[in-house]
Amino acid sequence: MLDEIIWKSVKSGDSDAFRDIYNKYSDEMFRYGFKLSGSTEIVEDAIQNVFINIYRLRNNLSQPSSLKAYLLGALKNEILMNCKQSQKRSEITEDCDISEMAGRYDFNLDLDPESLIIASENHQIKLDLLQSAINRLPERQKEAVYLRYYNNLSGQEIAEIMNINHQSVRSTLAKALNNLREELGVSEEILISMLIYFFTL
Amino acid sequence: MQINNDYLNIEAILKDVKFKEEKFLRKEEICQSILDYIENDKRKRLRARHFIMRSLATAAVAIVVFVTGAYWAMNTTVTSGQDVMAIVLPDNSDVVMQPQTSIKYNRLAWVFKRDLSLEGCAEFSVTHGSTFTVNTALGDISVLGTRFMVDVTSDELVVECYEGSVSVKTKAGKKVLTKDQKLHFDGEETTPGVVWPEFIEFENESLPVVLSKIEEIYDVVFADKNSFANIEYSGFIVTGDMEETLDLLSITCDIDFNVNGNQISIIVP
Repeated sequence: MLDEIIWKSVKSGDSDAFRDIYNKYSDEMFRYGFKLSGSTEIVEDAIQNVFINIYRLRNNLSQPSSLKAYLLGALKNEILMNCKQSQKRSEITEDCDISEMAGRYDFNLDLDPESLIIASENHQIKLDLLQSAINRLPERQKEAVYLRYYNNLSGQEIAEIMNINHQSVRSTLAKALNNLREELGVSEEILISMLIYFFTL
Repeated sequence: MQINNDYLNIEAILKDVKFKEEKFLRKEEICQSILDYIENDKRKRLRARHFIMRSLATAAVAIVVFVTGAYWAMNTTVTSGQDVMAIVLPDNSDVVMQPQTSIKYNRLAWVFKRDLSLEGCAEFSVTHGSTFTVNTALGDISVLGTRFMVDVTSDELVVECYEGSVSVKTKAGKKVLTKDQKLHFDGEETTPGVVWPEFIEFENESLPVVLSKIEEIYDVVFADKNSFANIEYSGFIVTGDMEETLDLLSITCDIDFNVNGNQISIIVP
């Protein structure tokens, strides 16, 4: 069913509508949330809170332009808030990988070894290097890469989730690919063309 | 082209590889707890609404009981005993009640409608305002502001209007009385009449004229009254007491009366 139609039922508090959007997006939310927090427990709590908050505030919510981006953004806020609160209470939170600097957090982007093997055959690139290259990317670049290439989100949607403008998304992605390219030993000319490509996105 | 291919290559790689990820094992459980929360909240709201509805219903019943109770508490009955009794109604209208007369009204309803029930005989001096209604077993009398008298028994209703106008509604229809008009209703039909002043004065009036007036007032007939045209009368006759009137005449004019029903004959001694 279309998100616009489901949203109308969500606004009326229909629990079937909540089940529908949950079934449609909770897997992606879980994966993204896990990469942010590294803790199953925190993500589960956060997902639950996201849906309950939508239910509680449904009368004041307007139709989001992208429901997926809205849910992922809300999940991220939940997780960051949870981590901040834990830190305020000075609890030792091994679960929580959030950096002490406000707004900065770890983003764990490990590649699936099995798919790595298949991909390395297909692309004739030293893919063992790819993982270490990805690991060395700044967290925001990793997050942008993940959202763009795994979740297939548009620049606008990524901007919404990461709470930055569209322009910054493009430059972050461009920097990420640039970094990867460098790590994998690719010449500078290619990077320039890559940047050109991104600015024409 | 080499450059471009290489570039596209790395995007293709990123699209091709999968990132390691944990399975959302408790997906169903979390879903259920979200739905439980929603259902629970709905039930709570429903209960709250029922509670409010019940409270409102209880309050409504309490108000109805209170108003009804207040209404009954405000029911007022005034009954005169052996003497004439004067009372003042809530709107400052005066009522003079003859003995054995009773008036009923409700002080609460009076605020909205001037309405009372009468058994017996009473004279009303009504202050100006909304319609003032006297309900009796035989008919209803409505006025705006005036002075009038109502005398009701089980089979007879008499209304006399002294000032302004009075509307009398009976089984026989609606009649409007103006100053000095009178209405008699016997349960079947109405008869109009005239309200006489208490005294009527004559000066050097020939006796037949005076007797005609008495005939008119008391509904009697004097036999042979024109034979006494040579007698003149100066003085009063009273309109409320025929015996007294005849006494006055007989003393002044030196004649006697013989009353037989409504036939009166004149005797010269």
